[in-house]
Amino acid sequence: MPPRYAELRCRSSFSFLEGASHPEELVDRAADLGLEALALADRGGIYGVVRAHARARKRGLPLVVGAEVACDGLGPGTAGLTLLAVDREGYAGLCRLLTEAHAGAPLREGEAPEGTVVRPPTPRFPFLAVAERSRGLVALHAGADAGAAARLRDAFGPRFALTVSRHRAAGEEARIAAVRSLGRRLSVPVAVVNDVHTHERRRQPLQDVLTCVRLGTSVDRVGRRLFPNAERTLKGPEEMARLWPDFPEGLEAAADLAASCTFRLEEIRGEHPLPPVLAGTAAAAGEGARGLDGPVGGMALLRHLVRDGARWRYGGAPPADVERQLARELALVEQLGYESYFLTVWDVVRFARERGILCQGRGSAANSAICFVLGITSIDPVRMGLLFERFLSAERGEPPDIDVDFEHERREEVIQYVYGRYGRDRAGMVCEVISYRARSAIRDVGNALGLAPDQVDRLAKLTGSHDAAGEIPAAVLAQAGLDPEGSPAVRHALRLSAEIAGFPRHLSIHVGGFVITRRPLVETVPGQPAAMAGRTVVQWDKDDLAELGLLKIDLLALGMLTALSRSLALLARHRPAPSGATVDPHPATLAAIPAEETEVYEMISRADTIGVFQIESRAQMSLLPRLRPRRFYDLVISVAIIRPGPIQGGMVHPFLRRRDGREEVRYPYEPLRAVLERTLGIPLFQEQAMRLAVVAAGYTPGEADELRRAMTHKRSH
Amino acid sequence: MGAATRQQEILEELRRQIRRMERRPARREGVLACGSSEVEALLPAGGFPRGSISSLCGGPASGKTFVALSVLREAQAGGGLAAFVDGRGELYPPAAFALGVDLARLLIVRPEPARGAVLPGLWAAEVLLGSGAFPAVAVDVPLRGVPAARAEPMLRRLLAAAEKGGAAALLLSGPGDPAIPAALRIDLDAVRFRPALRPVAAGACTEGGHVS
Amino acid sequence: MSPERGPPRVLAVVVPALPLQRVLRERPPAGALAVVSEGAVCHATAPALAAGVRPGDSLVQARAACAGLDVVPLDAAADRAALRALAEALLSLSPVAEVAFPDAVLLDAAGARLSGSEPEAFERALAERALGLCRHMGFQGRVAVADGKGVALALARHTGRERTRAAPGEGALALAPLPLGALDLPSEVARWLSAVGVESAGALAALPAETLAHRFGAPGAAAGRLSRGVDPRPLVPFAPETFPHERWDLESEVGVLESAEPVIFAAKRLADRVAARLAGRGLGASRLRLTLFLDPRGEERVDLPMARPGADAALWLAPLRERLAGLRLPAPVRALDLAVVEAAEVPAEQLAVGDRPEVTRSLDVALSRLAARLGERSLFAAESADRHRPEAAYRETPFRHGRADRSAGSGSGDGSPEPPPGRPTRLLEPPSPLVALGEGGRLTALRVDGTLRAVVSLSGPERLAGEWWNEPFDRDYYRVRLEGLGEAWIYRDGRDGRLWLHGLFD
Repeated sequence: MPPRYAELRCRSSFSFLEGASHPEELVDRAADLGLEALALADRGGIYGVVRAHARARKRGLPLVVGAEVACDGLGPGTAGLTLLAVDREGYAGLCRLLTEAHAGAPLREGEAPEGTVVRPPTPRFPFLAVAERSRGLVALHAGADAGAAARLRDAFGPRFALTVSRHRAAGEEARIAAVRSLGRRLSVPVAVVNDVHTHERRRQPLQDVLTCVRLGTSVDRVGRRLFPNAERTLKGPEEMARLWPDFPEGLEAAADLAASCTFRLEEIRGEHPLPPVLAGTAAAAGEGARGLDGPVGGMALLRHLVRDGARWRYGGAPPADVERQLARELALVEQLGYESYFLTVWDVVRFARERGILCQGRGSAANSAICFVLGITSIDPVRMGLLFERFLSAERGEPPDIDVDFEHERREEVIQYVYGRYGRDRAGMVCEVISYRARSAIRDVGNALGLAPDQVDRLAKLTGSHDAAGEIPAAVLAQAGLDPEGSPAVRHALRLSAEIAGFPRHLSIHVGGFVITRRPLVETVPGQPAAMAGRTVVQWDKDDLAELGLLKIDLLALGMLTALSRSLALLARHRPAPSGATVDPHPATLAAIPAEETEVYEMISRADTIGVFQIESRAQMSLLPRLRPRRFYDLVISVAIIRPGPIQGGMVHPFLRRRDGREEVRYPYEPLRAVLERTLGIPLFQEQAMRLAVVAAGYTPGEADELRRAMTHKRSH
Repeated sequence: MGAATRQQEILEELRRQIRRMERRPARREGVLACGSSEVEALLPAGGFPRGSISSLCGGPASGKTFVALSVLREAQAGGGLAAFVDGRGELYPPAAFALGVDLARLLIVRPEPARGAVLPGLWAAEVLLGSGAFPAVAVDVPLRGVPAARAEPMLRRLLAAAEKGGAAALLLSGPGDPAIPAALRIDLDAVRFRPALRPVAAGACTEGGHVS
Repeated sequence: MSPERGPPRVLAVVVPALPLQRVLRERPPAGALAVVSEGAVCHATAPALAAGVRPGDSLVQARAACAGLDVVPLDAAADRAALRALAEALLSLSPVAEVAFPDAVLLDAAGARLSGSEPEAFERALAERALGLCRHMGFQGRVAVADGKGVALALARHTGRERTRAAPGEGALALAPLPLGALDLPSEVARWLSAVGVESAGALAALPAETLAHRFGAPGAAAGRLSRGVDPRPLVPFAPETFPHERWDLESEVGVLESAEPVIFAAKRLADRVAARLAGRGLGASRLRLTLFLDPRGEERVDLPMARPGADAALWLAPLRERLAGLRLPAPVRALDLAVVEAAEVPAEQLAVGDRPEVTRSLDVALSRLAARLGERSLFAAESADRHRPEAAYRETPFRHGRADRSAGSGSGDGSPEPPPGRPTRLLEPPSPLVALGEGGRLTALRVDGTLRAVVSLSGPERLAGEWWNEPFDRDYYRVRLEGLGEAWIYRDGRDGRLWLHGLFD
């Protein structure tokens, strides 16, 4: 029978500055090696488990979820314990434990300055706390302390195992014998683990560098605080069988324990909060629900709101193409199950409008007719020819990202409303993983390799805007007196800083993002306190939440909205007393501001635009006199044209020439007229690129969106 | 005799005594232990005698260095210093440390190879033994091939120095080396001699022996 | 502010027109004399000034004004040396002295609380003694005591009084009437200030602090603080650069060194003097150099490393004799020079292990003899080094016979964890290659020193790999018991599979 093995003790780069492989790399390697399962247990949290889960799903590898914790009160000093989730309840218990343990150490917003080392503190638990939540959890412990082992056995029963590892270190065999003997005495199973820190041995140098960064030292001073060899790595069943010819039962025990842990992250997919009208009163649904009886929710509520909203926007029944569009969008939303996103945002926007807080949806949400009729955005996408697929498509497999800006001074009221509405225990902030980029990488790696501080400085400055220090041309390096050929330290620094790029460096808070769950947050994902009292930050970032289909909304702050709000208030205060039946010259709301005032456009054409949102930059001010905008759409073009894409693509001058009539407006292919007419035959918008693909190359809108994403792909990881 | 003269006489007598004490070689009585009761049991005096030479003979991995280091450790136990004349340059200090030798109080003399190992090594041993500052000095120089006629006078000087300084000289030699004028000679046979485990600090054990 | 916690009190000693004063030290009372540099007058005596010579005049102009003018060129090196010599003398008054070229020495004047006297009286007494030492060295000085060195220097140089004292906190008051030039500001700052009409220190102090900081950054802020009497900069200690050395010219040349007694005698006298000078400075020599000057030309140098730094001349003699005994000289000796090449601070004598002073002495003698004959690199104590690579797991350090600076005899100076178990007592560097015989993948015999020996037992491996940033190594170590030999420590190199003998469990 071929040997079986599952790795139960494995750390990824999300054990900050300890693990030297990305979760995806670990999963890939584990699958390649034929491991029966992989347990990912990072220190103090499950930060990386969603990424591992996504890859494991693709590879068909069972992924066990767990974490490494430090326990007080188990024996002398602090003992390490690996906890693995057996079932959903165990997982909830693990999340609670991790949340409680982080309670003392708040997270800060923002990125730590280059050259500083930030490590999330290792949370410590009193053993009693762990014992109380032992249901549904497997515990693994690596020592040979009989007292600790007995207490763990009492707390976890058959779900406790002692572990042994063979790293070819001095004195190991005696330790292995002691643990096996203890296991026999106490009738506790003994499982073999590798205490994995890398996915392959070749990654050990980076792991050494991480140790140096963590300890604030360099390779020539770190001494034996580095591992003596590269054996703490993933090993497949065959290699493990060769390594443990004397103890095959240990390998079996590991595989069996892994098999008993059946919880998979899939189980928490899509646990959206119930829609706002759970209480069931019609009044709670707002103005649009007059005439409804009894509780409504979900798609029914959304359809209702959309119907009402369309009537409001179009002053009656909407035109046929709008009807068609709305029907398409609603069908897609229903199919993908995303109604909660729209309802939640609608509810928040409704609250804000009631309070007179200026707010507006932005970004790709403007492509959605649903968002338009719900009042979230202010642009009619059908009239503007915007493609819905840019916002939401079946192909993308991602939930919609509806960003809403609020007056920055009053955003807090909105946030408090969300907490009040859904409960402080069901809403939390989203974390952001600050990773190593080219400059922070070369700094920390250079210091770890013992380069002189001025060399590190020079390398960091030269790295500048490159993607990695390794891309600095050799000539530039030579001029700065840095010679990879002659200096192995410099060579290693360049190579390893490229390897470390993208590694998590520390956690921060994603501004404006909120995750809202149906079950209490603390049972879905562990949270850590933020510096602001009463706020929790979950251990996953927005991509992780999207992967699992958990609801996230973005409540952003925009200073310009505050300025507008204040302007309106000032106007109201200073308007003269009404004298006679004249048109009120001072608008009270944004909607009342007359559009398309000639004088305004003349000001703009004179480039008198300091303080005007989006068109006050120097580049804009130099373009506007040439462009001479006369209507709003001209401003749309002006904003779109001063961007790297059109500039580098050489679109600006052709457009201006055609605008001035100095060049003939031509279309290379007649069907493209509809797409490019508004911009005189010059493609300026991403939407136009998408529509070109649809019209000229026969793409479906969903495929066109993928094309757009491929073109604009920016490495955020 | 007047009181003044009497006082003078007493003072003079005291001065003579002091001079005598200062001149007397610092010979200390007794023997040095080596930390292995098996070995000590074999020795006539129950230990390694001070003020003379003990010879430890054995092959390259017979355990003679282990015994020598153990004796040096015991010599340090009372606060004293120890020295190792490492003519072959093979002494591995981390092993000495593991055996409990205080490296800060162990002087290692390793003559630079260009000067040759035997003569400088023996001369250094002589100086160290005669100084009286080292209760024990281990000497490991490659004596093989040195004709007895040359070796003997040098070894006699070593003995004289050991007597003067009251130190135990431990000479390590191999089979086939010239005879050494030693008060005590131990032949270590690799097959039968297995150094025993010896506790170094409370609760910790160093492995001096073979792990199976 | 109490003396304990107030700003640092500094005494500045200034020698006005130092180049001139230095020249005048060695001459009888001078008439008209000027010190000249690059064709222009730097300093001039009173008679010269009376005759119409002015600093800045060209040489031609000066001579025109005063026909019998004595002209001495500026000797900057000699001036600097003289200032340093003054500082060395002043070191007897204060633990720290800083040389402030071109004309001042700064002393730490904070000793009032230690002396138990009133600060004002203490400082006045200190100032008097400093002036006295200046006169001793041939200079007419001016002193000032204030908070901080910038303030003290400005006052000493520019008030024109022989003694100035600014009480704690009153530095600003004392500085206020002085012109801006007294503050020694960066030229950019000074130019701007005079352009805006700030001419005195008091006016500068009246400016808002942010103005200067905003315009000139840190130097500006410092200038502002200085004008307000605040200068927290510590003194930069002056360490006399040269170590003592003494020279002896023999009455008649010594030919053959077997009758070296005259040389030894001279060397003894030199040793006494050098040692006395060292002792005064609290130093001990750790390396001496005896230079023998040969007749008619040529030199022979004898280097003497000391086991321990010390200022005891008697300890230097035995190694000296050792070395001289071995010398063969090509020519007779006409003079000797004994110089201290390396020195270190020597704490109060502690009695050695064994608490018998003559034991310590004999130990030092023995160590010095060994170092002299075998070279100092042949003696050492080992210290555990925190490295995985076995041959790098210890380093050689000077043997200090276990004194105070070590913690409880662990031998590992950096608090590193326990040494790994299972290390052999003998390590072969470099390792010697092995030829192995095996059957069916098992090792059965090894050829060691030409002899084939059967493998009785084997344990391991212990895998040690790393140091990829420097010289990578990758080894699997085994303990092998060989028939008729004992236990050997061998490793298989992970990169090429070869076997090496690295140590013996002897």
